[in-house]
Amino acid sequence: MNVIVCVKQIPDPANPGALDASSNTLKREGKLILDESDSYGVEMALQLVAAAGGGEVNLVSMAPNNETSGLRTALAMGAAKAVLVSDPALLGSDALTTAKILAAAVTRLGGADLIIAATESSDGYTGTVPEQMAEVLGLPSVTFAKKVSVEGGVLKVDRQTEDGYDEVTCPLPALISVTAGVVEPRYPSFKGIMAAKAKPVDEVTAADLGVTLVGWAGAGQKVSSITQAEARAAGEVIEDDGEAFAKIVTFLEGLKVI
Amino acid sequence: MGINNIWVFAQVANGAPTSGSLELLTKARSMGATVSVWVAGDGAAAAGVLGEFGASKVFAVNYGSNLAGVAVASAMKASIDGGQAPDLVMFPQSYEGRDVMARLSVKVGRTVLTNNIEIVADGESVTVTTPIFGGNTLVATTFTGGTPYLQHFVQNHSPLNQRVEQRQKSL
Repeated sequence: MNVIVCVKQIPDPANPGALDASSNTLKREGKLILDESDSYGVEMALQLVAAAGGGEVNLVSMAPNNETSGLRTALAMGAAKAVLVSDPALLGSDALTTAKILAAAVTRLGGADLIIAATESSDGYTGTVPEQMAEVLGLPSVTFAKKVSVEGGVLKVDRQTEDGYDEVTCPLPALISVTAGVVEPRYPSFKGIMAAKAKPVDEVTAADLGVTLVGWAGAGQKVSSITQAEARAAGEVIEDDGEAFAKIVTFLEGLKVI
Repeated sequence: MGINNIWVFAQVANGAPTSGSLELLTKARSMGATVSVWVAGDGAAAAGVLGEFGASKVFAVNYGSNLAGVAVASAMKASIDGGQAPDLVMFPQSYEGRDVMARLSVKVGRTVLTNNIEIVADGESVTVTTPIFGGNTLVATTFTGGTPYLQHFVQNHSPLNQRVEQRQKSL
């Protein structure tokens, strides 16, 4: 069984995010790390391949400056190889373009039995890319998977809903997005970290993949303004002089709560 | 010209539209457009309430034992191809809504702007506001491609929600 995982490399969330004033996009300078949301997908893929008794886990990623730090983490976990799409022309790309790029990268790898993505990234959190990829690739999809198995060549998923979860079966090949906690990601071993340094990363551009009209030109959107949100007003402090309850009742009546 | 025709995808649970869907419908109606609502599954039970909240028409899509995303997006695309293209399609915060808007985005080749807390139409220009960095920064983004514009609202954005609650009390 072959599985491809979509992996995003993001600025370290431990550092405050910042926007590039010239492009109005998130600053992605320097070392990027593996988005924690995607570590669940990598682990899920490794476990599914192990359970199937053979196969390969491969990665696709889109990142600026030929950045591979986050990819190497996923390779150290056990993935075999990766396609990295890195191209200055991609700056400003929207979710739809990202989905087209990642779908083309999946095709470059020859496809797979299963494609796994996180439900959303930790920095962009659009939450549409997995389903958009499925549509581009013409695949069935199950989003928000909280439990995943493959039995008899059929994908079985517990899919999160507002009321609980649905038990869904789906033919392969397919695409799923997994929620955080679907499995517990492993820590890369020292041996895995060393081995990852030699694993192949195929670095390509959008043009190499045949995807044109990317970046701001193809985004269908422009940033009009960026402003600081108004600071939340300080709350009113009511000193209890024995009549505080009346003031609280008046306040709640004003809100039409009572 | 302008935003004259809006579609709202309404999430229905136990035969009733969710508060987030009514919130969205209220917002759509406030934009002065004709509002049609799309529902995954049997829309009959919800049609009355949706009508009271301003829906002029309710489209119900039967998706059988499949997931709703492909079925609803395909039905929307067929309607658009049939000459009933909306200017704007609005989605509430729901699992089904995410699937439908993502599939539709590819089918019509339009971007989708998500996690919005406000939307303003000025003629044909539509701008949405999205909080980032934990809500400290607000980004206003304007659609630049052609219609239909696709956007997604965060639920329980209080000014909208209060109007919904007041409306619910008056019904």
